[in-house]
Amino acid sequence: MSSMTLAIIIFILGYILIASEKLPKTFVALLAGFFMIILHIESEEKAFSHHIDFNVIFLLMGMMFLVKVIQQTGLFEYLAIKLSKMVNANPFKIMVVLFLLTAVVSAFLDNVTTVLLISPISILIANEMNISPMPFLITQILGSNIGGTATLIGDPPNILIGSAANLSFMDFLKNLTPVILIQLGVLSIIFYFVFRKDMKVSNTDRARIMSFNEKSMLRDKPLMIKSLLIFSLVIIGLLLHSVLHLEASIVAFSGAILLLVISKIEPEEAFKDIEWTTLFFFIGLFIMVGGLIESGAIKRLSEEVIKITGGDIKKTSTIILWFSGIASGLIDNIPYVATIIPLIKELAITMGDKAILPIWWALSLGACLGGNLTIIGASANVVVAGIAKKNGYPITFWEFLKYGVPLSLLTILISYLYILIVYF
Amino acid sequence: MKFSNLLVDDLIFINQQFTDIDELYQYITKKLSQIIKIDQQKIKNAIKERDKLGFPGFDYGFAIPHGRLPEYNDLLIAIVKLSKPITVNEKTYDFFFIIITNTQGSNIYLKTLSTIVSFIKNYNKELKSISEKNELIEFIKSKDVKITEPLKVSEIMDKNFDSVRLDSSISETLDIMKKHNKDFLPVVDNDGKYKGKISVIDILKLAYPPYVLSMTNLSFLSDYRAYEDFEKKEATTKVKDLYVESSKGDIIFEDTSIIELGFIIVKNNLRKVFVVNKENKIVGVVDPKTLLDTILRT
Repeated sequence: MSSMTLAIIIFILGYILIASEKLPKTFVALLAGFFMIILHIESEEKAFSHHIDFNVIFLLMGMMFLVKVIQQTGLFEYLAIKLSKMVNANPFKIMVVLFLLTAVVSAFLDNVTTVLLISPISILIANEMNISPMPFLITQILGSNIGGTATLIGDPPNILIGSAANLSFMDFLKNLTPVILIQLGVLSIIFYFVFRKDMKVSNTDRARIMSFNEKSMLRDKPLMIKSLLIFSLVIIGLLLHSVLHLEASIVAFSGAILLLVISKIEPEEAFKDIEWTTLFFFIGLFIMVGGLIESGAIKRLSEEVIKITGGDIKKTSTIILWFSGIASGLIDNIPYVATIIPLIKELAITMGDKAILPIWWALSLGACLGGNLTIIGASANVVVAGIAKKNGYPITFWEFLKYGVPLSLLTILISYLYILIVYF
Repeated sequence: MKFSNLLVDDLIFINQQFTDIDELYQYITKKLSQIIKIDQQKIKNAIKERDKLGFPGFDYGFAIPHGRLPEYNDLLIAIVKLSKPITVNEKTYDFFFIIITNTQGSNIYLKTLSTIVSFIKNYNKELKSISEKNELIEFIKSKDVKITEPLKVSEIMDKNFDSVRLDSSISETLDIMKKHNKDFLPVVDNDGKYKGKISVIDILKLAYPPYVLSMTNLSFLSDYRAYEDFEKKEATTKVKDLYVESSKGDIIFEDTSIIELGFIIVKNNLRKVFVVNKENKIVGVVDPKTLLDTILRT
């Protein structure tokens, strides 16, 4: 058996096991990855120094540290209440501002953390207003996936793409943020027609929200000031990282360590909060995909893709956008993007780095926005569904599909038009 | 503690011959003195002191002379079987258990005494027919008589307890709690089998569902709908919606010793332990306070 066949077999087996969720995906990815090394498909040397993207690992880890400190401050609950009062506790407007807040926070923090912070306060607000929290939860799922697409650090696929394609925080801001803002606006308008009728609230229930005292949420002011200061520094650092010739991971990670030091958090405490399974899932995936690259399978595949598309960038972007959208609605978008990245890099060799930029944006938009297709399309969806179920508001697969399919297809369509207009 | 483990080989004498009780005491106190390193005369006096209150003789020719010594902080048993009975106060005796212990009233001493008495009652014929030292030791071993046995949970547990069923309403549960001044109740199924427990804190969760608990704090609230809705919810919610399911280590079998009970309580930091029988039905409840009181009393 050639090493290419062997690599493909290991890869597909690993992929099926990850998708089936019969075994913990982190272990599957690590095992598949290490088999690539054990069977000499890729060398240890290559796996550790070349394929594992430590830029991604350290960026994720830095953001995890930052988030854990910031979320203790109560800032996000404060913002949710503050915004709800600013729209005079009009239930529909509350839903929209919480949708937008979720999107904005997701653009900077990971989506799961964002929904974990915002959905509980949303359920509380809905309960106090005596209306169903369902529309709040569904719009927040959509918001977290759309918002996460906007920046380099918003969603793991973007972190992967940014690092692999050497695209800066600023590149993402210039190319993706505008189309995401358009989508958020369009969806807010659509929500008006979809959910308006569920939003009848009595004057006394409205008064309940208005009498919330959000200031008391901010118990630990010094910690909040420190975290906001460091977080702003990190964002400034990210805006300038390509100018400073520093990787995004260095900016985020050093900011995180600085915050831990000045807020006097013990290392044991800080490292306990790191999601090691996520980090090692990435490590496993990198080695696993590395085997596929070393075996030459990716190269062969790219040759086939070029045959089909004739090397046409517009055609390739379109296929990547829609295919990624559908695929990531059904499977985990992280391993998907990790696999597609080397393929696009291979295409870049024949087509040129500059020319293939629209393909990278198509991959990001497709993979991130496709997460809204189904309730299992992204981790944030699964987490919200879990919270909803535990509190007695189950979101069924079909129930979510009613909103997820049309709205995610709409956002991908907007992205498609955006790519056509801006890049071709 | 086993009776056989208290016996000392060098203090068992079978088929001895003495003319009277004084000769016997002279012989045995000499042996005891060699072992416990206390003046023989003192030991003898202690035993005789006790005999003045009435010779400790029993039926079937058995006697249990005993002496208490202030300087001896232990307990020792000597056994003497005579080949020819001797007479004390017009009764004949041929089998002696001689006990030496401290002047302080000790738990083990009294228990040893009663153990020997009942041992004699049960096995006097067998004891009389024994002709060798090893035979006696083996016989006592084979009967596996215990002097002290730890209390069982069933002896200290509170047998008066109330329980609720899985499909009882929370209102019912609260009524029972209020009536009997309890802040927790065991939960059973329709067959009375233990399923778990429910406490007032579990019931308060009606007002604090998981999403609320995942928030940083609730200081921003001055009104809270969950409190206003509490009465409505309490009537419609069942015990099965809120109770804490039985987990490893929160129940204990009735025949468990209180030593093990304490271990379980301390290790799992339990405030209440439900006691079940072999059919997993609740027969009582026990708490750390009762256990502590029991330890201090015995």
